[in-house]
Amino acid sequence: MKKFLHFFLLRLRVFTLVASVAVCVYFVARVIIFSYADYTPVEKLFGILLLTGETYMLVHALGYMVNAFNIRGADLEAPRAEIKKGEEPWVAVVVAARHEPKEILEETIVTFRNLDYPNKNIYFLDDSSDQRYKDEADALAARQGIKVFRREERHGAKAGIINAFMAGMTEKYLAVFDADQNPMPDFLDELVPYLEADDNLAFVQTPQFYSNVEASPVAMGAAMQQAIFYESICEGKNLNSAMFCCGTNVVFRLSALMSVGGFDETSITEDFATSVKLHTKGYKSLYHPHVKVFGMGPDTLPAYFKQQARWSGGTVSVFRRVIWQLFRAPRSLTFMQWVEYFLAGSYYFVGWAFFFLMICPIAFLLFNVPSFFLSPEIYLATFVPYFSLSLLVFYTTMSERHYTLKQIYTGLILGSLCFPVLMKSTLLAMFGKKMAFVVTAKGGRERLDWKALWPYGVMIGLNIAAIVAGALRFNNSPYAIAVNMFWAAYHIFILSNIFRFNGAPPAAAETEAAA
Amino acid sequence: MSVTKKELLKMIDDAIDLEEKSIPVYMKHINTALFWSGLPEWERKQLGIYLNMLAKESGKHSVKLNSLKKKIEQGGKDVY
Repeated sequence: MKKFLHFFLLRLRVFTLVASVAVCVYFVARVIIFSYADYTPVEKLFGILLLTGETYMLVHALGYMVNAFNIRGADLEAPRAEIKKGEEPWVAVVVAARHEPKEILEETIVTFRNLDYPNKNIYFLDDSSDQRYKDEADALAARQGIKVFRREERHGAKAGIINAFMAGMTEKYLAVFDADQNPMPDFLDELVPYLEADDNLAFVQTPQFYSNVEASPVAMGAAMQQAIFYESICEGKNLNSAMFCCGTNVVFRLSALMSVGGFDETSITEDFATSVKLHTKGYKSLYHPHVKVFGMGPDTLPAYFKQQARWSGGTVSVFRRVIWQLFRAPRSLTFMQWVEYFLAGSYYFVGWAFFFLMICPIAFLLFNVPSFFLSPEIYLATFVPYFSLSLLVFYTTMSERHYTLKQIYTGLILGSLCFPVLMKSTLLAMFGKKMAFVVTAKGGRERLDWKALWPYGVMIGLNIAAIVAGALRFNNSPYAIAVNMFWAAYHIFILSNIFRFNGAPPAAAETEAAA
Repeated sequence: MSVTKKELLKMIDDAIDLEEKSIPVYMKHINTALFWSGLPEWERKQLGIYLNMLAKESGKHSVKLNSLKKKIEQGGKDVY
């Protein structure tokens, strides 16, 4: 297996190209067959749903492969300025927090103080309304010798308090961190020279890297999803000058931020919205593909779902604006920037895509409603190369960076299980409904109530019923029924993982083990 | 530039506190980096052992600073 992977890795660009062609061939075959197939209206409806789901998967697979192809052999190093000792520009290092545990904040501030960079001012932007948290913030700041900033009027959540703070800033750069993100001592020494080398560079983003991977399967899955994003995907976005800010572990040029009116306060993903503004104004961004900050990810299912609901709702609401901007001012971004923003903005529709792919085999097996009209020969000749090559390219690019199959699988399964949350949040965002800003719970000790798992129960039940129905009429159409039974079984397997991820949370597990 | 005894003791206290709080934070993160390093398990274990030794060694800074603090407290000087 290792020899095969090595062989594949050496020719990855060729295989990526072949896989991309396979994706296109399958897509064309699907569209042609769909267009000419003689559907009843109900079949047509399911046919459209399936084709939509597949198109989504194909477009994003193609996007991944284009990135994987481009970054291979590309020069990812950006120019850096030589900064003379004693002439380092001033940087404001800030953590914005509201009702965060003091232990987590203290760790972060300790790592701020340990930053080697000499000309820095550390600020705690405290947005708490509860007096207890305010008192804790004051005590913490006094103990650590840093400044606390509070605003008079509360508006725009995290973006609002940073904007209020920026109004009085004298430093040239602004380093932003979430409450649980701990930079390494050389963070600013590494990043500031990039900003000094290019006046048109608005910000430098570094990866988010979760340290609590061994806390639970959810923590591992969430960390893997971050890894998938911050490896090939971000490196590809960087090559296309389309890396967007991820809200933390980033250093901004104050003048660039000010020129677009500060952080966008109308979106709960202010980072993504502000990046669009900066790019359309002609500013550049940079992704520094080395881990310089360690943090904590969600380690329970409720915490993970809250995080995903916020990110998806915010991203889709900005995506609507991006589409509008594309029609209004198509030349405001380059073609590849539009492509990257399209891929990023539409990513969270994956919940719908997964749902569509899931219900079509059920509809066929239970109600004899076909949605897929490819003959076995064409199916084998188009689907198998696309599916196997795409998976192989993905697995190879991840294993090259030392991720194991088990880790990748954990991340992918957790992402799939998020489908009900993503469906709801993206639907709300599409209709312009605002979601409440929810802070990701850190070190939470919670699990989802059994009643909240009803979407999984329903889908598992339907898939089981579909398999039974398929087995009962297997001889009618063995090939089609076997393929659909396979997919139904595959979906049961994915869905059943919800019980593993929602198992005993870390603290409870420890207590149970001790008992 | 001079500092008073009180100021110096506060600076030492601060340094001890920073040292004690920093070590577990970086230990946690460096262990995670090791976890994702792709190194074979035995090598990771070995590096983990070295890391623990380093942490213990770093802890000695606090011991040194505490003894310095004691010396200053017992000393007769008011300005350093």
